[in-house]
Amino acid sequence: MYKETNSSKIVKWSLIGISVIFVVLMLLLPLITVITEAFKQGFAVYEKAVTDNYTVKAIWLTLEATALAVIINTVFGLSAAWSITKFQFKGKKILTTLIDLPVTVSPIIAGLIFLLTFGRQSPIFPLLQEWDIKIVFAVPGIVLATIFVTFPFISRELIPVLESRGNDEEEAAALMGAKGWTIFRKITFPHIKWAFLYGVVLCAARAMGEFGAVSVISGHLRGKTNTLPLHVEILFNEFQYVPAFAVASILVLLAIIILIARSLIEYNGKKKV
Amino acid sequence: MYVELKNINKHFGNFKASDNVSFGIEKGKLIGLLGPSGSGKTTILRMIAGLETPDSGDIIIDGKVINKVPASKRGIGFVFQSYALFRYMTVFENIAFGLRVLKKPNNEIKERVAELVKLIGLEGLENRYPSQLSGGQRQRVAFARALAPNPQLLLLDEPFAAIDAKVRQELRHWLKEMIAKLGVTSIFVTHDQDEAIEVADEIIIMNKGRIDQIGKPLDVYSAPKTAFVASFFGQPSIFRDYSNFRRFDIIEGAEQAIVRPEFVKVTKKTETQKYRSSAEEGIVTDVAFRGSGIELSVLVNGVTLTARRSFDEPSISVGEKVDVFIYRIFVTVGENAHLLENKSLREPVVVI
Amino acid sequence: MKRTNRSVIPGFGLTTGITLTILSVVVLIPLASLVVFSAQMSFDEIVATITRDRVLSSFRVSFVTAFVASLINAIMGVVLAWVLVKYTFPLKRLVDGMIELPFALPTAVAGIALTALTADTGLVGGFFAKFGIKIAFTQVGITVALVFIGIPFVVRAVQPVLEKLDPAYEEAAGVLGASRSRIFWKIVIPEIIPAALTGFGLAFGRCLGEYGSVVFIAGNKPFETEIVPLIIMSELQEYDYASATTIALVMLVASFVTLFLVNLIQTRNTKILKGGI
Repeated sequence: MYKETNSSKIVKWSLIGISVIFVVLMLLLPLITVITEAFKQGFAVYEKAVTDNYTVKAIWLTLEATALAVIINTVFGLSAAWSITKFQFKGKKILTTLIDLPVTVSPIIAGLIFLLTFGRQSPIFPLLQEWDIKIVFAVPGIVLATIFVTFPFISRELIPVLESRGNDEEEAAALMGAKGWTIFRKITFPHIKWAFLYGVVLCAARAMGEFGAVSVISGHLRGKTNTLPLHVEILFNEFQYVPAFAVASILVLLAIIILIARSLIEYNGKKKV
Repeated sequence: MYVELKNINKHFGNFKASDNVSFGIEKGKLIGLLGPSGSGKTTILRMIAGLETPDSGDIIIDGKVINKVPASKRGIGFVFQSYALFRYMTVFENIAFGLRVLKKPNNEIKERVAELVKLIGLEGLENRYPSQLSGGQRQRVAFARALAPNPQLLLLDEPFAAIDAKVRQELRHWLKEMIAKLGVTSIFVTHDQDEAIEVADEIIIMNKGRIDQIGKPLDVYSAPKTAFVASFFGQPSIFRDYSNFRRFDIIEGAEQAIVRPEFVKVTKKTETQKYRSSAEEGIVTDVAFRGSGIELSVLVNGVTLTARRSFDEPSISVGEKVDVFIYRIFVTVGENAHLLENKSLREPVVVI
Repeated sequence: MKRTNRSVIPGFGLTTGITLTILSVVVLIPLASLVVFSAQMSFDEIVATITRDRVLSSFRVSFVTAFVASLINAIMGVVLAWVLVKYTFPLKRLVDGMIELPFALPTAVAGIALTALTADTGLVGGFFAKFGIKIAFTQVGITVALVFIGIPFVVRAVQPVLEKLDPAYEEAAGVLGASRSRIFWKIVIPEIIPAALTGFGLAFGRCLGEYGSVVFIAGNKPFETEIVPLIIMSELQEYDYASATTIALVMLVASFVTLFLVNLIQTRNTKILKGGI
């Protein structure tokens, strides 16, 4: 290594300075703004906004949609990762491309496609009505849109880990007659544990915060199809700034928990390997 | 024959991994499947194990065609090149895995694992994880794990490839001894000729998906049937035209001449040489010290040959003119190899 | 789908079946319905829809702001990655963790926070207002929101490359007598560029489709601060599904092209790094 010269010291500290200013201005300040705006009129007003009936319902709906998205994407992610990394078959490349597709689609379009598939102008709409199934402007639509925008989040954490490790251990276990579930539970899962948790956290983060797609499909029915981010929007557009930021602060709290969980998982994952 | 392959063919895309492979193995034998990388030896092993399926042909074990029998029901122990030890399980659990799958009672498992741990000499390390073991120890665990369910056939894929040279030597002897002691029919794959010669009862040599020769190590080494086998063993010097070497028969259509170091006798001008009259003159171009002796490169008749001398013999320096006598040459015609002897060996020796 | 080679590992049918089923229900059928729906329209209708002045200007606003924001992120992303990999300073771990915030923070929250900050009454907006510069409800505001959204992409693309950059490289060049700036421009920069481009492409793709953080700060004035996702949304609110779908299709093509280019850069890059095919 070189000795630090004076000029390189100047470069170093000015780069650090620029970076810190950028991070503070672009990332930290918005966070602080949410908190200060939320408590602008004191704790009582904050508490009222957060415990408001519609807010509580929005929290439950957000948790419900997030949980369902995580569960379905877990089932999907584990299946897709197993299928793609353990077997050779034609069309694998296309399959992996299709799985990654949803993240490149604008959230608005993600909402739109479900509107077209299950909405009034869909060919299957009469059928849905007959069976009294509501998808658009209802909870199932919100869940579907949420699954769509978080679709590859778990599988793409798992696939590289499984791919880099090869299939020797699984083959060895299968040769000895172990069943699929045993192989997965005892041999494979310990290897992907941290990557899996990481994917779950990313999936949950995006799912609880999804706005555009859910906004298109939900119909903004307060108390029924309003998730937390949508609730924030409604309050903000009604110029109820303090309640809007108070509700937003719940999401900030969740985001911070997610960031901490993320770095803990990353730290543990690195330590183990 | 305990294990028999009949007309096995296998493609991977356009690549022909097995080209009409047939051979048989007697019960209790230790077989070395030898060949360069890409020769299809690992594919053969994986097909016997059931990890790959042949395109056509039959695999027979103990008189039964097992093509359709699932891998786990073939009664085969498999040692992977990478060992494929379960990294999140202890040594004990690794060895016990196959028995647990068979739902053996706990005390039986304990007994069997203890027996195997003792056999591989790793007592006291049962609770270690594979990452806490040395390469040689891992190999032993992989071996024990494969043996745990009492397989009738043991397959080993490049069992020594991942181990450093010194330990490898030791493990080879250990493995040969173990297998002889247990009497389990075994096939191991290797690209290392020394390894095959040292360890195997019988060698099967593969090249480009085909079997070139099968035989005892000494037979395969000293009497190669094909051009490939002749050039694969030893440390051969290969050249096209041997007509300058006067004392050998000329064969019609000869394509290559192959001379192994042990076919060449190099003597200093001051030394006595039994066949001096029929020796050729050469110039030493390189002298290299190998652990076991001295290796010379000698330019004779426009061809560079490799020869060996022992440390006890007078030293030779680069640029020195020497006498070179060649006992034998392998000559290849097409796929076949012929052994030619120096004619002087058959003539009465004229002592000067 | 057919396996080209039988494997001893079980579960092919089950896992592939689950994968294809969920993929079809969640992704393939809905995306196909977009195509089916737009196929009902004539080519002239499609052209007429997307060449409306308001739509064209929204495309311009979207592309310009997304491009500028991604460019800022490309530069700041490289600086941040460099600082985080090469230097140690107090609270570095915190800064590193903060980078991920835009992935964790709901976009709507970011949107209202940035709006409050950059409005004339806000902390930052108030400062700039003194000089007659408006941020919120202008294209500058949109760009700010998009910068926020795109920060992690470039940093996380460049960071691993810098981490893997063998110090021996730089040292070897140093021994050969190359000056520091020369080493940086000739050795470090060429290594970073493909990663930075990848990050740029990913950020650009994300910014093009971004809605939540922009909707609040944009002000949504037609011809000025209306981005494409906003137009689609307003068409939907007027139940003009045909127009919405047409515009969405163009957006979809744009983001697929972006993704394709990113993949191209990535494959070329891995080729150079790993060698071989």
